[in-house]
Amino acid sequence: MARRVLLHVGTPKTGTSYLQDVLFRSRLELQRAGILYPADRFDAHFLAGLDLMQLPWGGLEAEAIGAWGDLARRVREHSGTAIISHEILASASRPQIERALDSLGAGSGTEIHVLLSVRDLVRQIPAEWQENVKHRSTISYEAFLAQLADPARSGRIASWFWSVQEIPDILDRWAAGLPPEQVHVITVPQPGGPADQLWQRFSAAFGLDGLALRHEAIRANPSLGVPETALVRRINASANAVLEPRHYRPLVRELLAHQTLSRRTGSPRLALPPGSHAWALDLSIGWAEEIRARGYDVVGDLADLAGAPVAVPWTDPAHPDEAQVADAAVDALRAVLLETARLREREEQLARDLDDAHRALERAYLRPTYRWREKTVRRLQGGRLGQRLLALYRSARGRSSLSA
Amino acid sequence: MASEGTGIAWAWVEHLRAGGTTAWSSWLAEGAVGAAGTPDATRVLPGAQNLALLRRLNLAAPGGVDPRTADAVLAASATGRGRPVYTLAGLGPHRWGPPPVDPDTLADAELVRIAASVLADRLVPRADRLSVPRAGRPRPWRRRYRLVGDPWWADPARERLVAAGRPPGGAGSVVLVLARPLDEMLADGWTARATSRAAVTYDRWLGQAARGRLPFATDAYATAETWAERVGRRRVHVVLDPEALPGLLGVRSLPAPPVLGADAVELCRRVAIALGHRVDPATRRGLLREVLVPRLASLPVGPRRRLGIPARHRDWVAERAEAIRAGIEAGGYPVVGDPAVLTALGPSTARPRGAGVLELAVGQLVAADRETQGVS
Repeated sequence: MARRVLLHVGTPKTGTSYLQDVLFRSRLELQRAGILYPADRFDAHFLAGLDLMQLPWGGLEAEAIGAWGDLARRVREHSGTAIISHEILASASRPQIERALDSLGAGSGTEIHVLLSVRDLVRQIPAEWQENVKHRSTISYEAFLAQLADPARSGRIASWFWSVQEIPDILDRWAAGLPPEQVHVITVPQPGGPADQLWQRFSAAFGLDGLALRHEAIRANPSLGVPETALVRRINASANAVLEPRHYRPLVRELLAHQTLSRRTGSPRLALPPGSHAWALDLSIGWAEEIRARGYDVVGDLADLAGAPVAVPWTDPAHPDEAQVADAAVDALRAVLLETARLREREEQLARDLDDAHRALERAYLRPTYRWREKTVRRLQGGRLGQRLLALYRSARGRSSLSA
Repeated sequence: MASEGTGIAWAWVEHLRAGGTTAWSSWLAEGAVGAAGTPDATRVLPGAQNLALLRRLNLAAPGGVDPRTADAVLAASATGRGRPVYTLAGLGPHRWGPPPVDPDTLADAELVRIAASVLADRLVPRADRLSVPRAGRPRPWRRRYRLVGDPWWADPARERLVAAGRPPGGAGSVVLVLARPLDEMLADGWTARATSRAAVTYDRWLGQAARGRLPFATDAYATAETWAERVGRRRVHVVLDPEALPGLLGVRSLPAPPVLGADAVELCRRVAIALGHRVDPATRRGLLREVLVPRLASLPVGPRRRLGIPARHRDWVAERAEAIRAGIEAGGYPVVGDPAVLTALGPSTARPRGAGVLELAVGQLVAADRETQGVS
């Protein structure tokens, strides 16, 4: 039974991909320090989250069957500290959380710590809209903001957004019954500080100080500028009906958004419109006061939740600079051409390999011994005695193949 | 700290577990004069949608459902995307999280999300009893064919043929494209998906078809053209009369697909999503096609409750149907049946209704509950 479980449950867009990549790549180093990061693949904790919450995810859920149970078993079998981290867990319901904590040994002496990395809404709201766009959405920024501002939160977008972003509510669900010193709120620094400041905070919160971990992370969730986001949204509107979800992720989200368009750093950044700034700021400040009042362990500074001032000038993604969108589209086309060429070369290579295999097979068929064996098997299959002899032969040979 | 309101809520949970049918609003009013249960901060209240479904089941099953069924309903996670849990209104001040709700005001679809989860759990133990697809020993004298087109008709027919030693393919095989009126092809295409894997809603299915290409299996002309490129135009036949299929394939009969109402297909779709978290894709298809679909197909369904094309989609469906007919006629394909069939759209405009889907789900759960009680 793990003595201590560190459950990092969100929030999205707070450096979680980088953290999880470092943890995944440093499993051996962590193991030597008595810390378990139970994952055989990078997205193991994401799959476990899908399984726990029964969330459909474009067919990926088929790979998630039993994933939470496996994860919990590995945690229970470990005798030191275990780390679980995925931001999708932020949306879990109280009954699901209760099941999760039980499965991790919460009622059997295991010390549960809940960690939540948080960032101000001034940055989170535009980041979440962009994330929606990178997941096939065609919703406009204006409509997205209107849904978030609706107190009923009845739409799917608002329901999801607040379930993974409303900090006091997430902690009400995840940390109910935990002493405040076992609840750790990690704030994302405001821009302009030291580059590794967020990692330093993660490291302190997870107790990783002094460990030599692999920081050459290859996975991150980089952001896009305004024209790049506008371009992806237009691609969604045009291609959604004809491009299957299993192709969308590698081609649009990974190839275009992450590997190509996110590298264009000179374009205007997405920001909250001036009219929504005060509303978002008020909410974030209210949350910071609530966190302080509850007495949680804060790693960083709650002042980070105050957010940046109004962006001047503000660029409306509904009316981007069309020349910048066209530039981004040229970069996207170049990337698609290169990928198509790579796949054509791969296809040609596979065709050559298949051709070689066919020829080898034909040579094998042409051998007199093969033809003699084939004729014998066919003749034996024609009668009961022959079938028995064949069964006897196959049994003696030690495999069940019916091919020869 | 648990409030008095939470105590009243727990008392209502127990009332429903015991087969009660009092609405939450009435219970809350009664609770204020002394019906409060014991507050318990260590337990988590079930979701409002779980409680609302349990009340619906108790209303449908005189005397209420078995406590085991009740507990399964109260513990179930909502299927699919959306809010995982709705909290009960009237339990004191609300500061964070989504607004609490009166369970009676929840949309039927929210209750169906819970029902689908419970139905999926009921289906999973049947996985061991699913039939194993068997291929009969190939008959040398069989007619060489490929059967494509309307998947709701073609899939079971092909499976029967394979089992009878008549696998598709082989030298010189003729491609039979089974085509029906486009409204039925669209409905059949969605039905085939919803009863085998996680599918989009019917509205979205039609919306995607309206905006882009028709789903491949529902476009008889595109299917014929694709096969013509592979095997030559002369070997592609368009079959417009399913009853002609046995004769064309050299068998006495082939199974006709079950008839499902629009609400039944939607219930299958919901259960398919829930099963996706419990079993592998092949088992999911088997559980749906061999267990749930026959149960739902045994219920009567009027012609106007079969899936149809809602009014706002009828114009483009009619236009596409004309285009498919024109393409097939211009393509010179041998046609079995009257090409006018392709453009004869039916009168039904039915799409799934939340209330109808919930009624079916409740019926299935009550029937399963009665089975449980009969067995014990």
